[in-house]
This record gives sequence, structure tokens and C-alpha cells, in this order.
Amino acid sequence: MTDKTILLVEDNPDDELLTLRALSKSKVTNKVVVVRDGQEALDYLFHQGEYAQSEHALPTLILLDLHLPRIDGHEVLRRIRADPRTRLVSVVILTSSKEQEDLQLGYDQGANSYIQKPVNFSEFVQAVGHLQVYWMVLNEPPPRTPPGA
Amino acid sequence: MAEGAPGKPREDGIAKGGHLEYYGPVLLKGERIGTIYVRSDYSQLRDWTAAYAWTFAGVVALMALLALVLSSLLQKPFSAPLVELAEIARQVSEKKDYSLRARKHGGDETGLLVEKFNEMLAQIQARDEALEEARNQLEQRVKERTRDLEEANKELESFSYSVAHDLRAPLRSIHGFSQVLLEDYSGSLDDTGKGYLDRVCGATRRMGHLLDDMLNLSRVTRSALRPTQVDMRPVAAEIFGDLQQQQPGRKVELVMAAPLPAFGDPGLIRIVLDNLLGNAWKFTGKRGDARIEFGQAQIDGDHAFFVRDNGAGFDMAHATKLFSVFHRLHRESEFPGTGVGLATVQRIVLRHGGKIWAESAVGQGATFYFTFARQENPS
Repeated sequence: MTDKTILLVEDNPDDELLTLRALSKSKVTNKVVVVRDGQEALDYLFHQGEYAQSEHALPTLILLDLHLPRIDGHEVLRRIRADPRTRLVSVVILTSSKEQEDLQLGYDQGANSYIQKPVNFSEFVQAVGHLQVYWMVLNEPPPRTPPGA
Repeated sequence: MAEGAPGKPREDGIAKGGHLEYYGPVLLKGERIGTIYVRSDYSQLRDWTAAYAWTFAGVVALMALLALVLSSLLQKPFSAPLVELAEIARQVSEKKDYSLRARKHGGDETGLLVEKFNEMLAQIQARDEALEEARNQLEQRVKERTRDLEEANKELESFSYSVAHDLRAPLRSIHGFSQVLLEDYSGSLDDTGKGYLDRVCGATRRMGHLLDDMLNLSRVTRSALRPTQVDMRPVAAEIFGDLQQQQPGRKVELVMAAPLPAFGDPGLIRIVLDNLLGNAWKFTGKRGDARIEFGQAQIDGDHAFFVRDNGAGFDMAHATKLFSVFHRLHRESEFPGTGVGLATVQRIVLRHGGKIWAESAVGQGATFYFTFARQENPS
């Protein structure tokens, strides 16, 4: 178990369970934190709201669903990129949508990758395994800078 | 007589020559007793005549001058209103401005003419305005209807899109958890139970394809057309390579004309070829000597492309339903499919202003022809 964390932003409990299962099938094991809407994701990332007292490092990878309650995925991504503390964190959009607008907006706002969740669970497990190995093992994350630097 | 009598009498009569001379007999009882000679110089007469002529010419010239002056003086009141009327008529016809009016100068015939002219203009103006209003109303109505239709169409498209899209999420759950059951609880399930779960998984896979195809179909209609010159040969070769990779065991001969230039949206052309070549690949699946041909031909004056296979073919009696959504001519167990592919292809071809048709016979393969109307630089 590495100290690298994956932040899973997912409101659908079935998808959450299946994604966690897919992540756990991989040879790489990471701590996975689940938040269930856009607001909670921002609270977690910026240590605010219910996460004001929580002491946790920035996640290495954010798996971001787009259709979320309260604040949607695009807005979450925009705020992540707008803030110097989080602007370099790897964000992979993991969504049902393959809409051109979603793809365009996602990449415009600086998503590192965009993956459509396959219906076929075996394919989904494979996809999640690939991205976990790539982003958590192969990819060198940007150097950590102290907040406010 | 200044010159006195002439020396020699001449013949009787009148002689001329700068002056008038007259010789006449003087008879007494039938016997000539002498000759009368009268000579008159008419230079004075000529002078008078000349004087008269000059006077006459002078009077005529004076009269002409007077007439000229008079007419120019009279022109203003008589012709000015007519000139003005003509000018107004010219402006009306030029500017199509029926609100113009001629000025009325008096109550005479010209005044009456101007009045009637203005009345006519008023009538035309009223009709013109009514016509304009009717046209505006019609335009407005057409605009409204078009907007309504576009809105309804958009709504329908986005409805079908979101249905297809939103159905994917529960489908993922069904497939995912069936898989989990098979993996984690296979010990508690007998073969029949596992068989049922397999069926659930198979059905969700098929539905997944169906939803993907529906989303593609809707995307084809909604995405903007960006046509450019495309050589379809390398595109087809790549698709064929993918098909071969998916089923490396199959031996299929691909025959292609080179090059195959078309003018269309590259992304959409790829979907067309994906479907047509994919179908040809699929329906030749039961032949050992499968052959797919992709070429071009002049058919009824149209520059058409064709994809020909020697596969299962179909009964031409059903050809009209070939391009309807969800309509299939083969059993799922024979050749799997969703019945959306050819509908998608047709939509793409129609969006390019082209047409698509097929020729086939059961067991004798099929040929799909398609054209792109917007083709430029055909070679």
C-alpha cells in the first residue's frame, strides 16, 4: 500500500461499489477516498466544510464523474484548475457521457484524460486497472509545492 | 419716256428686259394707222416687292419670336405640372415608394390628372401595405413554425440521447453485479443458475451495443458537417485491419480501387465505411472464400462507390426496410446486430446530399452503392 490516494467523485452507489471492486482487483493497491457530489469533492480538496479539520494530503489522482448533484464535474474541474493548490493534480474524467460538448469542455478545462465507463463490467475492470497502473505507478506526478508557494 | 421712242417698231406684244415694253397697233376702221409703244421701267415695282417681302419676313420673324416668348411664358403654367407628374411617376417606379404624391396646382384638366394620379397611388399604397403585412405575417408564421419544429426535433433528439445515455448507468449495474455474482458466488450456483446469469450478461451486452448505436445515430444527426477531400482507401484499409485483428482466424480477400476520393465529413465517412465493411465482414462469416470489394463506378450518371461481398445476401423483397432503424433481415442467432448501422449510414449519406441503395439475392452476396452529392474534383 502506497501513501498515494485516489479521490473517487461518484454519486451513483452502484458505480461506486463497482469502481471500488475494479480498483481492488488491480495489483496496485491505493487508498481510495469516496466523495459523493461536487461540493463534497471541493470540501475535501480545499479542507473546508466537513473536511475543515481533516488532515490529509492532496490525492495523486482524481476520478471525476461529470453528472453530479450540487456542483457538477465540469465546475469541480474548473475550480481545481483555478486554485494554485490543486491546479496540477491529475484528473481523469470517468463518466457515462461521450457527448462532444462534455469531451470538449473537459479537455478545455484541463482534464488529463477522459474515459467513458463501458457497460461491460470486464471491460470496465480492465479500463480502471489500466488507468490505475498508469496514473499511480507509471506517471511521475508533478512536484509537491507547499500551499501558497 | 426718258429714252424716247424706239427707232424701229417691233412685233406687237410685250417685251421684257429690265423694263416692260408694249407695242400695239393703232387701228382706224381696220387699218393700222400707227403703233403705240409703251415702255415702263419696273425697277420701282421690284423695289416695292422687295420692300413687301422684307416686311413680310420681318413680321413672320416677329411672330415666331413672339410665339416663342409666349410659349416659353405659357410653358410654366401648362407643362410644369406635367413634368412634375412625370418626375413623381419616375420616382415611384424607381423607389417603389407609393407614399409619394404629386402636387396639385389648379383645378384645370392637369389638376384633375394629378388628382386621379394621386388617388391611384393611394390605392396602390394601400394594397402594397396590405401585401407587405400579409407577407410579414406569413414570414413570421413560417419562422415560428420552423422554430417550433426545430425545437421539437431538438427535444426529441436530446430525449432519445438522454434515454440512451441514462439507460447505460443501470445497465452497467446489471452487468457488473451479474459478473460479481458469477465471480464471488459461483460456488452457490449450479450450472443452470450460472447459465441464467450468462444470459443476463449477454443481454446487457447486446443492450449496451444497442444504446451505443442509438447514441451514434443521434450524434450523426446532431453533429456539424465538416466536409473535406478524403481518400477512402486508407480509411477502409485501416477498418479492414481492425476487423482482421478481431478475428485473426478468418481469411477474407479485400479488393480495392485506388485511390477512392470523396468529398465529405471525414468522421462520418469513417462511420459509413465502418458499417458497410463491418457488415460485409459479418455476412461473409460463413464462407471460406470470403471476398469484399470496395470500388467506384458510374451508375445512371452518378459517381457511386460500392461495397460488394459474396456473403449471405438478402431477399430484395425486403430491401425497402433495409435502412429502417432496428429493422434486421437476419436472425440474431445467425448474424448478430442491432439494426441501427445501416440507418446511421443512410442518415450520413443523406446529410451529404447523396443516396444509398443495395442489390442482393439470398446466398449471392450483397452490393451497397452510395453517392456523395457534394463531391468536388471527382477524378
